Amino acid sequence: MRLTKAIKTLFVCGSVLGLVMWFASTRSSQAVGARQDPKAVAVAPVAPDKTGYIGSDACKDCHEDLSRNYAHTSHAKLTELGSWKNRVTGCESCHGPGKAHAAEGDPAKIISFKNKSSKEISETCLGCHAGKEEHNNFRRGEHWRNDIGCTDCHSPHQSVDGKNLASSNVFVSKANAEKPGFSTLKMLKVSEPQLCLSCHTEIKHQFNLPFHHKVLEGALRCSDCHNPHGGFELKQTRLATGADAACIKCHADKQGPFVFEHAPVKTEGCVACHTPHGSSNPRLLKYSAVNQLCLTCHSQDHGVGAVEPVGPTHNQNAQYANCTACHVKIHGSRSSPVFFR
Amino acid sequence: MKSNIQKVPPLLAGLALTVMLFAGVVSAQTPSPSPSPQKATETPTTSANTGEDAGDYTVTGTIEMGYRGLRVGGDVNKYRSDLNYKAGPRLFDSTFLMQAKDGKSSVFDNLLVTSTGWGADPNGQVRLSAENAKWYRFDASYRRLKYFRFLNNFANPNWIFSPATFSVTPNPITGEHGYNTLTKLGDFDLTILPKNEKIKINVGFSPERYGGPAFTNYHFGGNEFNFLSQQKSRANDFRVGADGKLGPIDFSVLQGFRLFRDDSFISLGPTRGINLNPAVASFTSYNRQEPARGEVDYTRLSAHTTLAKKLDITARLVHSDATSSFIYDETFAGSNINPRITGWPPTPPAATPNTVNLGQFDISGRTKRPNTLFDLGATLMATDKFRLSNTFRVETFEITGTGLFSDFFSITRGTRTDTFSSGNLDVTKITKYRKYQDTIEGDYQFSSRYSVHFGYRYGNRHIEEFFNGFNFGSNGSFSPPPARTTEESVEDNHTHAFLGGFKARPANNLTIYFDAEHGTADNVFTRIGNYNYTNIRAKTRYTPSRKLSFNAALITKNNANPSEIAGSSLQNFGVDFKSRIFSSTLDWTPNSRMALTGGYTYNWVNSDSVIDFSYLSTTNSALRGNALYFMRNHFVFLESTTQLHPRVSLFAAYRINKDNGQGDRLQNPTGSPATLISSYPMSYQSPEARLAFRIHRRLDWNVGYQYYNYSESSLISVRPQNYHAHLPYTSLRVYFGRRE
Repeated sequence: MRLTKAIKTLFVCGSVLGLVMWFASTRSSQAVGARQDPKAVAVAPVAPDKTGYIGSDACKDCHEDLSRNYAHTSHAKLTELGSWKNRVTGCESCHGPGKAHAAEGDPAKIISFKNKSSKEISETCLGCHAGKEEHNNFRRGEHWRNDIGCTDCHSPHQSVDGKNLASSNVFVSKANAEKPGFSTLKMLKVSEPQLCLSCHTEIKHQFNLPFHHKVLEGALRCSDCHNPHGGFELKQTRLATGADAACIKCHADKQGPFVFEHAPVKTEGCVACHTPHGSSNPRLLKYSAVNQLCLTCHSQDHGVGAVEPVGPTHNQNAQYANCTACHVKIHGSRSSPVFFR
Repeated sequence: MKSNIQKVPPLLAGLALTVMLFAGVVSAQTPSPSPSPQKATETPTTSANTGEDAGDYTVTGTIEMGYRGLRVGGDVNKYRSDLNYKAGPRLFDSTFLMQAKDGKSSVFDNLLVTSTGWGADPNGQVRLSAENAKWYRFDASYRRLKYFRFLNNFANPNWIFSPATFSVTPNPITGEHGYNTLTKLGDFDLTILPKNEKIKINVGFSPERYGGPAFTNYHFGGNEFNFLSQQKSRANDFRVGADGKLGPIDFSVLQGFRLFRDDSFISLGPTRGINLNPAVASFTSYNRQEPARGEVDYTRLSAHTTLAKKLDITARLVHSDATSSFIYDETFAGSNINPRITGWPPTPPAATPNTVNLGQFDISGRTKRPNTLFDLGATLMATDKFRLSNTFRVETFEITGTGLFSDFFSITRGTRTDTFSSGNLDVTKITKYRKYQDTIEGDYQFSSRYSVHFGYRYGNRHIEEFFNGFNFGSNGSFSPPPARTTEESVEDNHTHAFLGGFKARPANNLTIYFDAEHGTADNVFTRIGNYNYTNIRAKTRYTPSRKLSFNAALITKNNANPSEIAGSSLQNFGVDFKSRIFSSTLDWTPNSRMALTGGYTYNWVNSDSVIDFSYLSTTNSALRGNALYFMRNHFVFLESTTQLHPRVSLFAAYRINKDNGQGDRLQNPTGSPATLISSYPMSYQSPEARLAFRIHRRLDWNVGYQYYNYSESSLISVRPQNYHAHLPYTSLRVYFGRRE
């Protein structure tokens, strides 16, 4: 086991070292000759006079407010980075060559996104962002499917006006409107969870039930559990510790592995029994009576798994109505096949 | 030493914060060189309209601190289970943002620190993000979650069960699963070269500490014992990886190691069971230790490419190897304990009364769980308007648990003492799981206003469960010796689902979303899952003006699981689950001095499961009946903010959840048909108001009041856990870089 671990560690360290060396060699070669990559939108070679590109500085003259805010975005900083040298960055990386537009002031001479569909706009963003681990399944995600695009949530120019205004989803007081937040760095239009709840309105009432995850209180963010940019998991949830469900990230005592696992925890997932956002039922259970929840599966014995409880010890009167009063380790036990200890 | 180790996460967070802040301040205090004439002509690029000038940076932030009072009437334990706000000083929230004036600086370009919920709040968090786009990005978060749960209606037979057969007075104080624990979690991630397209290096560390007192129940020896246990576990997750681009391939590699240990224990002196009758079992001492150790090694590889700007392909492989090992040691002494060993103690005399001089269980075991997940997604951008996608998944895991059991009993009855022991009773439990799933879907964009999507998903699952060995639930048998048993079961199911929907924007201010999914299955693994279902979701947003917007949503779910289990056709043995959610919200901002928002949500749930159950029966016979669950929850909220005076603003809100539950339906467990009915009829309301006085550009004084009122039906518990709480507070909010 130790040997396997050592080999793995060596492999990872070696890979990282190799990648660093490879990167270093790439940088050296760049010093010799400027590299040109004709693919993505933002990678066209800079040749202002011949290609119609004029540079972002020219945009400031007319679009002062946008430029001022834009200067603090991650997009604006690419110009200074070695790996983005000799490429079009700044306004023209999305809006295309601006020379004709700047000279004539004709809106038709520049790419505008005003009348483009969400997917068309997103395609522009994905030209650079598609390869990131966080984003590389966006084209197959729920938001894409329902035609929700990048700019429905993000403001590429990072306009700060109107940020965090009061709305029905999470009330943000006037004072809060004047504070920066996570949204600033991620170029979000408003902060989470206000942003998410502006469409997922039905979730708000769950966060107001007696038992709920403390999202409105600020202890958690929607994006702690969900990847809004898509993913392979149902409901775009994130994975924790390799291939475990997102819930395990915080509820690590359910992770196991246990000698006696309650198989549905792993095969069906936590949501088979729990409603994760909020519930009036203790433990965020789907049903208020534990016995009914359990009996839904544990009726009709079918093998090793869902054994049917029988006999006087399982009378469904009040004393035994909570199965977990005795079956305390219901998510999995190391020492009891019936989850008693 | 251990306590020092436990302080590592907050220390790290504090250290990181201090270093960042110090570095930022030092940098901010560094005199700026005089601008060159050329630069002086450039348009200044300071951030927006806000921010305090601090050398090379602009600083924006707020911090609100104050004091909260508290008066709770009614069930304090339920109040603490729901809210757990305490009286005392409190940090409401704070944010601190430093941004380099020209967008870049030598130490960091941006530094953001946010926090909320410290002091008298149960859930506190602090997050830090610092970035120098060229060199690094550092994200850190630290959370402290105080978990309190003492509920009378959950796992509390001591209260609910009729005391007629017990000599114990019902205990309304706590259920058997009470918790008062503390969880501390941290995430520290450093990315080197964050904007480098070729390669980024990631290292991360996530510690977790969990501990505190908790009650657990032990059904043993002819009685039930409510034990106070000490929870104590910890985990450390280390990860290293890289993201980058190799030719046309975007790749991501991550290797993680998670180490965890659980040292929870129970150590008690004389302990009576729930039944205080001296003729039944009780302990004079009880100790349980179950140290567990484990690790999870995980690897994630993913790659992405776009071929000819037409074909987008993503592949991901995740493999994790989880192992855990444990030693379970339980020792006890007591009286009248039924050892539950077939044929022992030998008679005469009768098994009870007895004195257990020593009872002991020793169990050790080890579990392995390799888990592999592979996903492949591809999207063909056939035309500018039409895209076709396919997503394939295969997942496998195998849980192999092995254990070795031994026990020892010494029992004295009168003058006779007998001993019993068994050992080397082994068990093996294996669960194998394999899943294939493929989704093919397309989307077509008619115009910027109209689009449709459609798809089909096929799933195939194969689950095997295998058991071989001795029953650890039994304590052995005197004669004949314990028997080894073998059981196995196999489940297969195939699912088919069709999905589709559209987005329409018939007018600039009206958007409609609709999607639906219908699935079928030929078998189930758990009947509570989604197998034969139809889900429909419709949403609309109407914004007649910039001052007014309206959202509405209707979500329906019908889930009728098939009535066949494990290949046996069972008539009328399904689960019929239906839910309807209607939600609407309205936002109105008539002018800059007033904002009004409100909404209504109705959540309707009907669940009907055919079940077999035992009810007041002395035999093993079971009744066939229906388990019914109802929810009829109305949620209404209204919130407003009004600027009463240029220096005074008022925030007022009212929110209420009211669930009518099962209405006047009553269960009839012995009727024909037999029914078990459950619901949670309750109301939960929370009005609040807050006045903010602007004392100075940098300072607000706030005074506020929150009220919570929880009321539940007597159907929930014979003693409803109603409470009401008054929470007045006052606070000062300090601003940096606030607008005039």
